[in-house]
Amino acid sequence: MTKMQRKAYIRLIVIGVIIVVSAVLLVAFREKGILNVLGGLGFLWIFAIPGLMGPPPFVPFRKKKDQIVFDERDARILQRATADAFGAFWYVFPILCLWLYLFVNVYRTEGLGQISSAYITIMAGGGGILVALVQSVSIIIQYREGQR
Amino acid sequence: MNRQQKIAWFTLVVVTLALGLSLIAFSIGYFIFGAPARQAAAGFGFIGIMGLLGFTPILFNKNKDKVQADERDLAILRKATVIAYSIFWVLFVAAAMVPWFIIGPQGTITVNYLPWMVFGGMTVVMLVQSIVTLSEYGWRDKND
Repeated sequence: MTKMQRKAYIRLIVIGVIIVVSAVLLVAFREKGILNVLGGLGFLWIFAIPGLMGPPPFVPFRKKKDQIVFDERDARILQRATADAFGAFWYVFPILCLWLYLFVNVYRTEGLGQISSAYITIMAGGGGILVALVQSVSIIIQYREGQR
Repeated sequence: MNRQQKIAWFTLVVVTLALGLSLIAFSIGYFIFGAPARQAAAGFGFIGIMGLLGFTPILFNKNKDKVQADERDLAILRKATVIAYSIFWVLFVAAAMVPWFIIGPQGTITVNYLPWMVFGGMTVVMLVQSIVTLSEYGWRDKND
């Protein structure tokens, strides 16, 4: 298994933990409001920093001497995975923005035409998670296809 | 000049024209006629010119007898896409975080901000992608 594959698996595990813990907390504390519950999820970024940005440069990804860890094929796979990830992001992002725009303008009766600034921050976080998720899945699939 | 270069040039011209005319119209409304910024923002209606990009597949149709794209073309396309999205991502995160820092987590902003984020993002992606494509192939016709 290459370094990039291991990173992709770790990312998937981290994202899975984030999604499961968020869902459990949202259901358990739903009466406190989405924004308050998500505010309490700040600690999850402790997982997200090594998980999404890549693990720190020590165990278990220490580079062995004389070992090539990243060749042209890996670069091509990473490029394609990144393009896939942003492609997926561009399906979700405009739909979400325009849906929120219509929802706030049409259905809300209080604070018409206004949304909390926190929602936009959450959108950026969610976008980051989506990009990392699709990128990791694409990396794993491409390596599997290459092994056949 | 190959098909990708032509598309990149077309995109660059259309996006620059749309943005340029929008800014000129906004400036005329705001500075010369003294209209409030909200009214002068109607000048951004020129962004609609970018709808011309929808004609790209018709204007630059694929020639059936020719090889459409080789490995080099795909590599350039992927590189341009990744660079465009990398720049977009930095701007997107900044656009999402700035209101939060300025007005705080309890503050509210106009929902019109969301479509602006989408159109602004699209513009950045298309602009950067065409610039990178042209700089990779070369800005002029090299008869290749």
